[in-house]
Amino acid sequence: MVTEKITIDQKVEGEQVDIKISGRIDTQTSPKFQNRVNEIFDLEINKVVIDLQGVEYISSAGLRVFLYIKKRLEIKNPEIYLEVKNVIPSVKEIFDITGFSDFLNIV
Amino acid sequence: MNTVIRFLFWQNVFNINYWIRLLVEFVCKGDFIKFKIIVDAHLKNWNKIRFFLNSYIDKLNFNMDEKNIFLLACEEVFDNICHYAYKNLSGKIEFKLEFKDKIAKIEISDTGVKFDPTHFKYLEDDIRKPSSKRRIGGMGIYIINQIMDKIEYQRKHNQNYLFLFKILVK
Repeated sequence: MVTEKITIDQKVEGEQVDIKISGRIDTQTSPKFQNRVNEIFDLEINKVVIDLQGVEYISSAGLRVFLYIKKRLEIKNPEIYLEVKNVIPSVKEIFDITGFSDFLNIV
Repeated sequence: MNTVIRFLFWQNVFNINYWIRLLVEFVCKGDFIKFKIIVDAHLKNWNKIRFFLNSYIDKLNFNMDEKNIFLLACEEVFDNICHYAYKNLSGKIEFKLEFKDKIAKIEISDTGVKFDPTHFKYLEDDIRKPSSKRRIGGMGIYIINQIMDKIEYQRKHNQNYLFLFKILVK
């Protein structure tokens, strides 16, 4: 049996949300990712940190979720800081060629 | 000495939890390797399709980055065919992968409505727009153009044919 290879851990501490993702963010797993992050838009927060240390692959389906998060946060409050960390080089390359590195605050 | 290995494999399991229909053919002759699979065009099948593509790409000793480039190109085309050629209705997609003389060729065909992804371009200007002005979607073909060396489209016999080429470094 082939399984959906993604795990998402989300925790809120004060006004910061930490989202830790492992696996692949593709056309099959990105709906789960989007459903999960939908929970954060009702919270009173000022920072969202997405940890991609365990992410080995991302496709345009995954990029759409990142753009969705960014747009939703901008509508909610443009001051909310979105940070993406621990990005492996092959995933960073996809962020770079699609221009996502310009607005994702990758550290 | 050249050898040819060829087999056909049908899996046709109508089960609510696990179903996919695949026709797989694998040919290996010296440094020439090709394989093809025919699959049902449903987004929910991608994981299983990836599993099969992966198992054949593994035979070529690619590193992780090279594997991911091929899987990414196949996924982006698959996603586009499901959405635009079949408009989320049922249909078949055939993947053919050939490797010869350090050139990898991926041919993807479908019987959906005419859809030429080479004319569906995400422009460089779009990529540099601020996030608030960027549209969600349309990036798949742009990514394929960036990661592959050549992309060609043909419409013949009421089918879409997309050809992707990549020159291998090793």
